[in-house]
Amino acid sequence: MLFNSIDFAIFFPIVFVLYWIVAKNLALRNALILVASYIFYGWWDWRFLFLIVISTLVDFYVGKRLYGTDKLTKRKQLLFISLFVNLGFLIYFKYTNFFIETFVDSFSLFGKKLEASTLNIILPVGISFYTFQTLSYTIDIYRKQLKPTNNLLAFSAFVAFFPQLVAGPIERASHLLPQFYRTYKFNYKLVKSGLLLMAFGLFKKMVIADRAALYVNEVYNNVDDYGGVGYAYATILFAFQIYCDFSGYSDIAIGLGRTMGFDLMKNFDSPYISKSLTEFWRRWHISLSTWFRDYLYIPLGGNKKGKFRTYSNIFIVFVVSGLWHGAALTFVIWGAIHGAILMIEKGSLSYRKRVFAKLGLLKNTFSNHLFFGLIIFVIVCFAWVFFRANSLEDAWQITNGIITDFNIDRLFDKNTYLIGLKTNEFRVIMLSILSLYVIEYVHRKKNLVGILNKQSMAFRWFCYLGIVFIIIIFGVYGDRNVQEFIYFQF
Amino acid sequence: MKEFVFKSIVFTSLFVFLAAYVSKSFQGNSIELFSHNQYKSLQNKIDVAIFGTSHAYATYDPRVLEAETGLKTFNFGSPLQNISTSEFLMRKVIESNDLKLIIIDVFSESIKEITPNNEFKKRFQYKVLDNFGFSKEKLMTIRKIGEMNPLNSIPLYKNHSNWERIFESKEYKINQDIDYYSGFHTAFVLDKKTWDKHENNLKKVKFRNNTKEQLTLGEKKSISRILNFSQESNIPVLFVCAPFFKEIRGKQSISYQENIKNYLDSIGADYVDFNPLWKKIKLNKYDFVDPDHLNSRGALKVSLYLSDYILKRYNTFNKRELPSKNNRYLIAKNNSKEIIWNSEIKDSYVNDSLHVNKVYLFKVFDDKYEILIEGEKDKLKRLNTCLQYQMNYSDKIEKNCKWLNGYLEYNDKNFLSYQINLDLKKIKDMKFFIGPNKKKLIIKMDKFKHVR
Repeated sequence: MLFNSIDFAIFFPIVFVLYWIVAKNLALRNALILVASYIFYGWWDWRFLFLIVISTLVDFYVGKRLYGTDKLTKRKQLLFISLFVNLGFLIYFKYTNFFIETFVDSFSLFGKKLEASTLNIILPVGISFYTFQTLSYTIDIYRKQLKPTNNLLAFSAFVAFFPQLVAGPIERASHLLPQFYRTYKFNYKLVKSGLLLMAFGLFKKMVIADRAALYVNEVYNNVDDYGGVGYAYATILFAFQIYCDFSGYSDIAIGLGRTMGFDLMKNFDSPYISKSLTEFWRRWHISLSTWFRDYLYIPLGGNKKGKFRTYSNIFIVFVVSGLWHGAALTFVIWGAIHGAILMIEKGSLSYRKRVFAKLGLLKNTFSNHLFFGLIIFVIVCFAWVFFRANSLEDAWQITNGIITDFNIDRLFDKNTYLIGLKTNEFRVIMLSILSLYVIEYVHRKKNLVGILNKQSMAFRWFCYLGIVFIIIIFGVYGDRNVQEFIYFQF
Repeated sequence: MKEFVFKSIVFTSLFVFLAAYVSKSFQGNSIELFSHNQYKSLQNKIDVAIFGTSHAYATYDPRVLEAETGLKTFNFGSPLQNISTSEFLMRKVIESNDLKLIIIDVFSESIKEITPNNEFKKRFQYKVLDNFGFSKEKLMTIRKIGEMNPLNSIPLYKNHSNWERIFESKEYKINQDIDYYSGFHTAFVLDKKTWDKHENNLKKVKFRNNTKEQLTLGEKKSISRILNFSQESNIPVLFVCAPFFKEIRGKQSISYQENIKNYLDSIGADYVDFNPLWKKIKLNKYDFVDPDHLNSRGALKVSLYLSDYILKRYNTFNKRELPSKNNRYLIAKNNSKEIIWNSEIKDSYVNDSLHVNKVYLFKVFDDKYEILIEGEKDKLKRLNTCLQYQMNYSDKIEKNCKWLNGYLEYNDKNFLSYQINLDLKKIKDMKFFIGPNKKKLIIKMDKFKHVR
């Protein structure tokens, strides 16, 4: 079920009302969450519910057994079972075809042509997300950082919790699971702020991301028809598309959780104002970045084993992160670009500091923020080309086109910046992106909901209705088709 | 919790109220909306309602039926109107009018059920349905036309991507060359280009012989529902089929048309197919705009036949004295003086060379006026005309000169119509000339007292 669908618009109020009716009865409430979550997931394809059920059962029992034994071999065996089952599903459903294709391609490099056909495998929605979430549970117990739960119902609800089941935030058991042991009292302010956050998420998704997608899809799916300026516009728009798409989903998920009394972790924090790539990754997909930090980077040695190992660990983490996003070389290269630039960024830190200090670039001024912010934005956009391109060939063509075929005259040519869009639609995107920056800026300084709450009721309601009508009128849906969230495919 | 529930209810109500208001702006500016407003302006005084597709609205001219039968008529035809939409419209019209007769134009396109993925056809049904408020019947009709999403009954949802249009003018302007009256609309003359194209294409068409195609259960049910409802309401229903070029449709449609006829005959429904009556009506190629639709002259011929049929078949109707203010046939028939201009022309050049005897100027509806030129039968077929006027706010003399070709034969006379798409209240002077090089001034109006 998509958050931006009519099905969900009917599903959510029903679940919300039932939830608060049974909220005081913990078992009943968790049972409701579980059933609602399975319906939510099964709406897409009920056959893949069994994967979630198996993951849930395996990790629940592995967790309990892990806690009951101190024998290292036994503990390793149990952890292996959890990793094998969870990663096994993930690898089978997500990477089988990728490995087959890569294997065949590798042989062709040596002049051997292999005949191999890929398997007709459907990628279960959100498998990467819930796999990582359940894995964190068993790994934390293995590390003795977490006590296992004895409540299968609460654990099942934790694994399948519908607000963040298919696209995160990837929650840690230590943060989310205890929330399933608590009952919540209806909190008007919390529910209202949750609904507002959901509305803001829908605005990002339906007004900005899906409208930008009209341009981006046209250019990236017909690479031969466009030139450097078109590629550049499409790539910049894609940067906003993916941000608004994914952070919009996270906002809706967090808002949804909040309406039910749950606190889900922050996943985005205005990443496009970052002044370094390190900062960017502290602000972008925070739940995944911290997951990789805790369960891959640190186990690999982190920054404790010398510079070479630190840099190679960073690189490995980002390549794996790329692969996590999608089973294609384009994603691996995207990860590798980020890894490589982060290595350079860290390696040149002391040198850069010296130079920047001489140039006066370290001062905390708006112009310096803008300067570094733009540089990081350009780097991120360069990497996005590989993330979005349908193939490596397309990605090369686009990067090459932006560099060698950048005709400045076409920068202000309507035929270039209006591809797939009407003039007013282009204005809507520009205005929406601008308002997004303003809203995020104000919200960073002061709590926007707090400011709103201080206003008169008439003004507040005017704003609420305004948001709803802006989404309904300017959102992209209906005859232009509802767009799936990009991260569903991961 | 109570506060939240209360506020949610108030907020939702406010939202629904505003959405319903805003929704109207998303309805779009169309001839369907224009016709609906025309229908509403008639204040529920309709005696005869005609339903069907473009075949219907281009064929049955209410002016003729009004002039010949004395029954106030409205043509509810709309592009690709499906039988389910016709049924919905029929129920709505019956609700607020004391109807005496229902006429439904049926042929393969109108009667066939819409397949769920035929968005094109569905869109045309919405253009009609959007003009009516939210109701259970509307939802049922939406389901019948193959749409499962009830939100598509709300223009704000369905047409939200046309938000730019809400800043556009709400007024729909009828094209100057379109002959419009109470839902009926078509062009005066044959569109030669389209016609030739169709005729050339026709030579390449290989006809399919699919005589097995029968009416589906759903289609039969639609007809039965219409008949039952009209019987309950005690209003007779006349099914008709507008004339079209047989060759264009191909054998598949012809056989299907025969199946419609057979089915209507089998259930004892009243049915007139104008296709076998070409000779009787004296129809020819030049009575069409294009191979699918009649022009004003063709419509006049068919409507005269239909009027005669109605008078003979349903002779119990109480005729009304309809005002002859904006109906060209009533004006000509009654020599109406209640119009802006009515004058006989006594001029040997005009009478003998141009074959023009009389001229009328009248208001058809807001911003639409007509100059009706009466002349000798078989002689007045085309005329050079020129309209010259000055707007209130300008001293510039505007000119609109053209040849009138689409002559109309009525009451043993020939007529030519000059359509004016202007609000005459905004004009300070107007002159109308006929003949080559504006030879004869036949209407000269200063300050437009009559209009004001």
